[in-house]
Amino acid sequence: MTDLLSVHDVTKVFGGVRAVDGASLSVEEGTITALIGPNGSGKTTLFNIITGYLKADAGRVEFAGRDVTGSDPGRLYREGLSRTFQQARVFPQLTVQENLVVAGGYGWRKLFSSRVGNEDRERAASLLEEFRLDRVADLFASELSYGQRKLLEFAAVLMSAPRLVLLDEPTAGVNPVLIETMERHVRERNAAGITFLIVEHDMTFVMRLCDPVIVLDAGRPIFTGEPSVVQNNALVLDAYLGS
Amino acid sequence: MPPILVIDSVVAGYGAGDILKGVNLSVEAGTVTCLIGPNGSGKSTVLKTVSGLLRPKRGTVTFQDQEINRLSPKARLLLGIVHVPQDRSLFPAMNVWDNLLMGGYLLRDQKLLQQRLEHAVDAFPICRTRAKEPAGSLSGGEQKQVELARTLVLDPTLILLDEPSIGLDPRSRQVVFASIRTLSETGRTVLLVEQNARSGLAASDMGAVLESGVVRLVASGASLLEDPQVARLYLGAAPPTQPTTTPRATTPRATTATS
Repeated sequence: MTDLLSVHDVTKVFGGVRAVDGASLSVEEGTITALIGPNGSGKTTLFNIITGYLKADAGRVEFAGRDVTGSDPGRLYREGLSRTFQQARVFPQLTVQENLVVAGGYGWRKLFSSRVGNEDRERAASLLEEFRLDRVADLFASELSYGQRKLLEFAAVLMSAPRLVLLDEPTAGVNPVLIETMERHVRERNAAGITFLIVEHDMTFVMRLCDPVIVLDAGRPIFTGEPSVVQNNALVLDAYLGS
Repeated sequence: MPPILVIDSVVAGYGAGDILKGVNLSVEAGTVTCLIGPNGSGKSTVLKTVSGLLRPKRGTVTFQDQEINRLSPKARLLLGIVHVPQDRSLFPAMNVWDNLLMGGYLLRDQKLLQQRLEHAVDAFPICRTRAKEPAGSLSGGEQKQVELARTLVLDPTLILLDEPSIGLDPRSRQVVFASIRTLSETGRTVLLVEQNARSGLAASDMGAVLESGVVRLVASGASLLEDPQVARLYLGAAPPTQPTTTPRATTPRATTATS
C-alpha cells in the first residue's frame, strides 16, 4: 500500500509556543488512522496545516503523490480531501436538509437550476433518519444543539465522495448510541475505499475502529502502532492515557 | 431537608417549537446530578432555564425555596447559581489570570477576592503556571480548567456544567470529573449535562434521563449504569474493563504505568 498523505518535518510556532515541532507522519491509503495525544499536543494545528487552513512555518505536505504545501482548502477539497471541525461548521442559514444537499457536491448554480438526484435524495433521507435528524430536517442548522450540529457535519461528509477524510473529534458531544452508528458508517465508507485520519479522545472508539494509531506529544509523533500495542506502551500511558 | 432546586412542569423553547415539554426535576443540596439523553433532547435548555438565559413559557424554577422564574441571569448569579456553558467562554485575547479575575467582577471586597482567587488557583494550578498567556493559546482541555476555576471565584452554591468533559483528553477528563467530586465535597451542588454518560454518571450521586423534552427516569447514578435498558438506549456499549481490547499473546504489557 502507498501513502495517500504524508507530512514531512512540519513546524508551526504561535508566539513562543511550538505547536507543531518538526512533525513527520504518513497515512496509508485504505486505513482508518487515528491521531491521538494530549490537549495542546498539536493535533488540530496539524489538521489545519494539512487541509490548508494554516500555513506551516516549515515542512512539506504531500497528498496523493503531489506536493500540496500551502494549497487552499477549496482546492484540496476538490482534489478529494475533506474534513470536519471540533466546533462543527455548518451553514447556519440553510436547513438541515439543504446542508446535506450542498455537501453532495452540487455547484451552487445547480442548486438553483436542477433537481437533486434521487439517489442523493435517498441517501440524505437515510442519513437524517439514522442520525435522528429527520424530525429537524426543515429547521435552520442554527437551531440545532451542539451535538446535532456535529452529527449534521458528519452526515455532510458522508454525502461527498472524497479520497481522504479528516475527522476532528467526531464523537465529542454525541450520544454514545449514535457514536456506534458513526462507527458503522466510517467502516462502510472505508470498505468503499475512503481513507480516514481521525483525531479523537474517546479511546473506546479509537481502539475498536482505528489501525494504526499515531500518538502526538508536544508537537511531534512519539509512537505509531496497532491499537493494542499503543494502549500498552509505557510512553503513551505516561503522556496521554494516564492510569 | 427540602431540595435546593426544583424544576416543576417547565415548558420552554426557542421561537415556535417547545424543546422542554413539562420537565420535572428535583436536586438535593450537596449532590451531583447528571442529566443524560439523546442529542437534541433538551439537556442544555434545562440548564438555561435554571441560570436564566431562557425563561420558561410555563412552569416554575425554585431555588432555595424561592421562585426564580422572573429573576435576571445576574440576579441568579448573585444568589449563587453559576452556569458554565458548553461553548468555550473564556476571552481568548485576555490572559489566563485576567480571565480568572473576570469571575470576580461582581465582588467589591478585595480581600475576599484574593482569598477566592487563591482557592481557585489551588484547585486548578494551571491558572498560576500559565497566568500570563493568552487564554486563546491554551488547548481546549486547559481552557476548561480555567473556566472551572473561574466559577469558584464566586463561591457558588449551585454549579451548572454543560458537558464539562467535551474535547478533553483522557487525563484531563479524569481531572475534571475528580474536580466535580471536589466541588461537591465542599458543599456545592452540581447539575451537569454529559454525553460522556458513563463517566458522568459514575461521578454523580443521581442521574436523570431526558428524552424529547421530558424527564423519563431519575435514579442513582450507579443504578442507571447497571440498568441494561438504559445502557442499550442511552449509554452504548460498555468500554472494555481491561486496557487491552484485542489481546495478543505476543503483545508486551507495559508494567511501568503510573498515574
